[in-house]
Amino acid sequence: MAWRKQGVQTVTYTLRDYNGDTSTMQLNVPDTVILEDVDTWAKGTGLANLEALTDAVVVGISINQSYYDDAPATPPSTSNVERKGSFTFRADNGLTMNIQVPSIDRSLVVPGSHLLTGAAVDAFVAMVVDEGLFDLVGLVSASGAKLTGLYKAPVETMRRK
Amino acid sequence: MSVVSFTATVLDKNGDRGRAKMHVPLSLYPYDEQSIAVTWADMISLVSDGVVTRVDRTYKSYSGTLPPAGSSRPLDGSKLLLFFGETWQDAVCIIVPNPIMDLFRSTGPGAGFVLDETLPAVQSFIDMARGDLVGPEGQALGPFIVGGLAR
Repeated sequence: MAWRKQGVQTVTYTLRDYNGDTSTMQLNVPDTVILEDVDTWAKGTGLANLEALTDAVVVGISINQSYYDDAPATPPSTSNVERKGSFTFRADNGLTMNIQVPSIDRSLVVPGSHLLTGAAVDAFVAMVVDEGLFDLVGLVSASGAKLTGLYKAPVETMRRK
Repeated sequence: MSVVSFTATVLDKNGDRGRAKMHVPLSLYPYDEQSIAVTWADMISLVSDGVVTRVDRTYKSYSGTLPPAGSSRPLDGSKLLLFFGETWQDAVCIIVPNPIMDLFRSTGPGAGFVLDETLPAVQSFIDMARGDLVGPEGQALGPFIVGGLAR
């Protein structure tokens, strides 16, 4: 197996009319252009040229690049993405952020409870709050606040159908 | 603070997919994105018995501006289709929702509407597309073939 980069980045514009209805459209740009430059292009040249053609208003821009495993393993018979690990972290702005891990390994669940435990759980939590992760910076919440530690013990959750 | 999101897709035995998302600050870009994507996949694999098949990096920005009443016509399902390519077999189509109707000229009663390529706004978009955009496989866009209205 090897991780590969998809050959294109996609720029998705969300357009809205005065009724509040939305529609999207997608443009492809080369994968060699760095994110900052795509962002500048999408908000400048791309946006100006698009707005000259449509009478809806652009209200959102999303820039996506995919990476994929070119030979993924076969999922084991125990796997089930509805069984999730729920990790709630405290952020330095006083709020929390939840990370849900699909198909949490059942061997990490404390028998008779929904609590998660074990070296793998500790390692995952340590990496999430590691300020040196990626050699540059640790993870942040959706609003950009640094994650500082667990807010409550991680648990298994299961969506009932 | 603006953030960049990385979303890992996890596959299970039934072929169902679940997703796990995390964020890093935009301010410290450029990162080695592939390294971050692979690290996130490895982190998920630590605690999941599913298989991580892909990681998507997404950066979203919003203007947050609602169009004032009467400033735009309701989205009516109409689309501007712009085709690029050396031949129709390899043509790439760009679709723009709710096009301004003044961009088209009628080709006759019941014959539909064709994009007026002589308009500066149309020419500018075509030049931009050919200069800056690529097709879904990363290929360069061929010459502009034709533009039309679909609804």
